[in-house]
Amino acid sequence: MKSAPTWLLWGCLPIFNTLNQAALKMTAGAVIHEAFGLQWLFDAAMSPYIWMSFACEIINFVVWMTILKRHNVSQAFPLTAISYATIMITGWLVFHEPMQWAQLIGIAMIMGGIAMLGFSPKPSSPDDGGDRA
Amino acid sequence: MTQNFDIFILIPFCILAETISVICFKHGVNQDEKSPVDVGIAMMILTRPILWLGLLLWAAQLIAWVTVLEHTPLSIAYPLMGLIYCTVPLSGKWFLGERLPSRQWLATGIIAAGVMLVGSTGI
Repeated sequence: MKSAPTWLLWGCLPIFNTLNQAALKMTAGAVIHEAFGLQWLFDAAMSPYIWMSFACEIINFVVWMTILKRHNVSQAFPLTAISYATIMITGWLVFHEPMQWAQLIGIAMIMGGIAMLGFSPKPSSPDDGGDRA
Repeated sequence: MTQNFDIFILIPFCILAETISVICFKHGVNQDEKSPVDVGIAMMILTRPILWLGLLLWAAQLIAWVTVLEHTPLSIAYPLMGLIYCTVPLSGKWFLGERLPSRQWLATGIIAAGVMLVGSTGI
């Protein structure tokens, strides 16, 4: 992990974030018949989707910790911005959620703001690969 | 009604828990700068209680998040978590002493406005 190029680490985040959220949405679908309580927790824990989510979460956690060792929190955090687009598209295409114009404008503002946070004129880190991403 | 509960109570809880856990993890990793040896991630998690707190908050947030997704579309709920992009840089500044230039203040304002716009489609 220490020697992984920065661009590869960045690419992992949106892919596994999207898979993670899709798995969590499917977990929610599996326990929706149950009121929140011990049985709910048991059903959720028994769902294969929650384990898919854990796998994505562990991969992203390791990737994220490695990124945080190279960058400040306020500089590294904007890397996950791209997930907002891929997760929205997943909601519409995979889960057939309604699409609204205000959502599109709002998401554009969120991603624009995140880009402003991240691409500061001062280079964030002198390490290898930082300029390729 | 349930979706409003998600948007006004459960999602803000998730945002708060996520923010504190990110700060815990960064604080845990920061301890390396003072340490003469570079320890592995597994060893780090085992030996640093602040990382346990981060994991505990992550678990609480996960349970709340699955209950949110039972009733609220992913394409509305997930963008609301974007408020983390405001709370994390602000916490980085206040608690970890990281720098926050004026353009980043402006950026957090734009993100917050976008989050409110998406949130308005869900209530």
